[in-house]
Amino acid sequence: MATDRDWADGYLAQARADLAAARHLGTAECSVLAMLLQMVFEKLAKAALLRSGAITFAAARSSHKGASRMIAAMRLQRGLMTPMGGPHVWHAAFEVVEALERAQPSLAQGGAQLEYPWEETTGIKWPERDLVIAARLGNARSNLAAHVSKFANQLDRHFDSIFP
Amino acid sequence: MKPISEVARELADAHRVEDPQTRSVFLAESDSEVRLVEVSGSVGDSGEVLPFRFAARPDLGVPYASVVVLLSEDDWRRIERGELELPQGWGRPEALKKIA
Repeated sequence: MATDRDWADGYLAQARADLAAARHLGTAECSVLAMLLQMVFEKLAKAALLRSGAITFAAARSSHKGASRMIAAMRLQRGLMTPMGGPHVWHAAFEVVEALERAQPSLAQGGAQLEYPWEETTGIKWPERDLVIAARLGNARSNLAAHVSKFANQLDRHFDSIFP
Repeated sequence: MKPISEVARELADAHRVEDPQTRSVFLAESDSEVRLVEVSGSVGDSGEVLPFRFAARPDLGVPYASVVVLLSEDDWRRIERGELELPQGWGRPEALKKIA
């Protein structure tokens, strides 16, 4: 019978694979990049939750707001993010994690979202063309995608010391 | 070593500095780790109780592991009404000790 730790390791491993795919893809298909990055942070959060030992597997698996709550909890911990450069360095990445979370289909409430088209008064919209956070990540004049990817990489690298 | 209650108060004070919108901090009883329930105006409603465990940091004056549950004010009211539950083993909300 698998333990919560086993499941946490599985989520962490898949988050790493998702992150590798995001890096490989780059900003060519910005909505797919956004979806992959959302998946990375969601899986990292589920791994962290399962490592807490204070939540059932079912509750961790079904959580939708774990990523933003993980970031908020990390920001409270004195010195925790110092090895990653400190929390202020990653302010833009934190905002992106929250925006990606809000754009999950399960939280978007029929509005703009990461995966499927949606309808507005002006017609049908879809993520690759119309999702604001995806466009921001795909903007060639911005280094936001690289910044968020680097934050995910740093979080992955320090994950075991942050969430033992 | 400092008692858990003292470390908990230090953490609560430090967390309030990091998040000035912290409304209340509660301590759940444990003899091995610091268990904090923090109610903040800076986090949105989630309808979920999401505990994150952080390692002990003796180098930073935190000799115990700590587990933090961040709640919005509405989520906290749902806890009080019994619509959301604290993590297993943390007791009932009325048994929490308010430390900040």
